[in-house]
Amino acid sequence: MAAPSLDLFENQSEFRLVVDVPGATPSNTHVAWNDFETLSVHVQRAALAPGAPSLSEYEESDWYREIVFSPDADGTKAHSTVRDGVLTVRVPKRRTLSSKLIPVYAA
Amino acid sequence: MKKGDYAMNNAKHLAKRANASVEPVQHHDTVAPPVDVYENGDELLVVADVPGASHDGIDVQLEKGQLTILARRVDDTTGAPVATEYRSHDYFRVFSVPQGVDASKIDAQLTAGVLRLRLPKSESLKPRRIEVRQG
Repeated sequence: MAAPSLDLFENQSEFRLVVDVPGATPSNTHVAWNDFETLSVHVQRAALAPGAPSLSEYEESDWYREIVFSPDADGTKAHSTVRDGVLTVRVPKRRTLSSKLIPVYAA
Repeated sequence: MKKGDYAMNNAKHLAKRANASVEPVQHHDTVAPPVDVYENGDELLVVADVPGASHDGIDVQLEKGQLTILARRVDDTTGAPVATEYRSHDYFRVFSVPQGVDASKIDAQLTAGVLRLRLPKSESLKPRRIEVRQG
């Protein structure tokens, strides 16, 4: 599998991930939010044409990539679209990070 | 008019001309997209990855035996970059088309960021079976 190139942007409310995955359509693209704030992208690419090419410059293979986000990313509310072979995933930010005070005792 | 005044006026005039000639131009770098070429008895098939290029941004021309592909992409770059692995760029590639391709029947199709160019062979380039007569 080949690793596609990506760009990641952020603003105050969300992260926006942009991945070049030519050949991707909604039906062959799988985006998943996994443990440890990790987003995975898998595109099962169909054969370009029947037979072997007489000139080949790139390997015909699936696209696969994992991206680790920061803890304020809420992947459970992520939204993804694909257009012209470019996948865009919008991951909203949590408004407040959950935190817990840890008491400190004298040793 | 003193010599100095003339020089100053001339400098102003040149500055005005320089400002007037400035036009907002959106410049994009170009990269050569990778291609695969398939061939059978009827045609050549060129497949090129041009992610981000829309149907309106593709320009394919055949002139003097040179097939030129220009694909423009428009990217949304709003927001602060956290990680960037590629810069926004257009795609540009030129091929020499072999003689015997029927230029009037070249077909281009763009699907999901993949450009497919079909170059039909003319009859003279197609393989043909030669009948062997009995002597």
